[in-house]
Amino acid sequence: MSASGRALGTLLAVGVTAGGVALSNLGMVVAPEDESLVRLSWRAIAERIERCRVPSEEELAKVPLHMRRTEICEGRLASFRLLVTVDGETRIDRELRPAGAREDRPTYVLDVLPVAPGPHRLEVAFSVVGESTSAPLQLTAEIRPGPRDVVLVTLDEQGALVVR
Amino acid sequence: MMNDRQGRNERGLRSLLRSSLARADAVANRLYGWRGNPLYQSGTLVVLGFLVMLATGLYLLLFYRVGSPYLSVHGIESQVFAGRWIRALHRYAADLAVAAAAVHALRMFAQGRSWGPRTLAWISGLVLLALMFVCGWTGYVMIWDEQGLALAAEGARILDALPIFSEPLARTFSGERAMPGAFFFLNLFAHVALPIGVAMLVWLHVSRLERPVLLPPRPLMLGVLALLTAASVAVPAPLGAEANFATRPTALAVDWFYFFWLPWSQPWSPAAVWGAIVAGSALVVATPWWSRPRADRRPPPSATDPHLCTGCFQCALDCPFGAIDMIEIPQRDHPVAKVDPGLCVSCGICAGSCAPMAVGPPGRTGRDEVAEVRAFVDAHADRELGVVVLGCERGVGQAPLPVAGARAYPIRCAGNVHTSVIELLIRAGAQGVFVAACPPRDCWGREGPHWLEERVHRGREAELRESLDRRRLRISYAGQAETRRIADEIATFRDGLQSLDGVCRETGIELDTECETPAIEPIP
Repeated sequence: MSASGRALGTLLAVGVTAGGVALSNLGMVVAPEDESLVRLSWRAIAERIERCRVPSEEELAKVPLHMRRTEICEGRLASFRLLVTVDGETRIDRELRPAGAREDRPTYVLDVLPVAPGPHRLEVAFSVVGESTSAPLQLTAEIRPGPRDVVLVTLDEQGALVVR
Repeated sequence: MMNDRQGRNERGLRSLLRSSLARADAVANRLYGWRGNPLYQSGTLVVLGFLVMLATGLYLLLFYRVGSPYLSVHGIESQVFAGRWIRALHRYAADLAVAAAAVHALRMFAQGRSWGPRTLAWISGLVLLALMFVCGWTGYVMIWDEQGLALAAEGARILDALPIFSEPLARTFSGERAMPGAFFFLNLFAHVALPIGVAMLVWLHVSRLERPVLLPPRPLMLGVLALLTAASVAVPAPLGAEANFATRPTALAVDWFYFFWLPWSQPWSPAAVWGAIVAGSALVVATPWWSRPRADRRPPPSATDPHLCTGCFQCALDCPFGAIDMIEIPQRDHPVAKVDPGLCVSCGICAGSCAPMAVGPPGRTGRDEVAEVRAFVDAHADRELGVVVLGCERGVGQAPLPVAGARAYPIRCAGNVHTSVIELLIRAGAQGVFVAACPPRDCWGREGPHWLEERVHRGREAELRESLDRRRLRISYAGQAETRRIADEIATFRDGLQSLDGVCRETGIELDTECETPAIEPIP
């Protein structure tokens, strides 16, 4: 092979390598510069809603003695409603069902809200759908995220909503 | 043999890919020669990348700490004379492996080498590629910089769509609680354990090949290693800021070889991402079925005529796919060749290896070839044969060769050509025989050109008769798009033949087929 051919080959090899290295280190914009996030993340276990009844004589007769119960209860975990407003504007309003195929797992809240950097009034309400003996969780907070900041709303050790 | 066009599905996307690859091959052959053409070595370059990753990974493992992942990587980066470039080399070798694997898959698809007995290699190759992506994902997460966190969070978001986790994985990366140390341990374990799976899959991938080549030729290997090392020293792998749940990065230095899908996946719901993954996977996994030729166009596997087989084992030795076994049958006092149609790709190399011409794909055995050449010679009885160019149909044999005094004679594969064909042509008055074979590392039948060289020049069965003037024969290698170069070589060869004595045109040529006269009843 001629010297020019060898030089061209070397040049091409170096060029391909340089291209590969560039592709390996190329930047990717994943979020706007002037955006902050409010991240909601917590776990809650809802009350169990049960309906009980006394089995009929026929029902009892169908099962062996040791399986006869005085009361048959069927129940499910309650759903939650999550309501989030930012500066009075409703950003999230939805019902969250318990996790799991049988909906017998805790309810997980995992959400993100993009907000502009600067002061905002954040209101979060998290309550059981339907009748409940437990008080709804509520949070009203003034937040002031900077650009790229992530404000986390979660539960503290006492189970109250807090901003971190 | 030569009019067999079955099994060729050269239209559409595949044809376009093939011609594009052929042009790229031609450029690379011109610059590096066929021995150094990296496009022919895509498979072995994957293995090379894997070995470099293994060596550099062992070094990095000495310094990586699951208790403080980012700090330990930062510490590696501060080793200016070792850790920094070794980490970069680890990364660039991973990039090389995935890029070479993609090229390899593309080549196999474009050349129609992804169906039939090659299905196992295709599927295992895809699993290998998938494992490499998962391994890469764990590797980038274990650094635990901003990019690592972003990749972990995106992976968790996608995985959470599967109803198999007791609680959402994404919660781990929300900042609600401290990162569990077990996560980094599991991640490291996966990153180290997956390559073991990769190694096993490489074995499976080549398990149907005889004499698999796992490493590129030394000059290419050293060249690639030098380039990778130089790149690693010159451009260290980036290390972003430490992962922080309280801030979100706006830009990431992402390795596009591994995370080209990130810009598309992020705006999509996890269900849509899974839909795309399943649909894409189904499409590529099903390639051996949707891309294969129609049943009536598939080349039939080789078969043996047990009456003619002398039990020499040569076809079993030469078969590049281990498709031939020698078995005992009661009718013969020696083993006879038996072809496993499930392993045979119909390359026809066995036909070229068989002195008594007992084996080969139907219509392409040595006897069929000789009969066709006799017909060819008879058809040209009234004029000079000149230089007969045996051009591989998958290579330059596809295109007409505009060389005065040369006659094109397309062949299926150089390894399929029985040496009796060459002998017959020269004895019948051909001025010379020029075999334009595919480059050895690009042979559809893997070892065709190599075996032809052995048979012609090194006495391998079925060898070319020793008394035949080798100056009248030339074997050259060229890809599909190298017609002009090969035409020049043919012209030079033709001109060189002028200095030899005039050709002697024999008639009624008898060939020695080393055949036993069958003295037995037909074998059912």
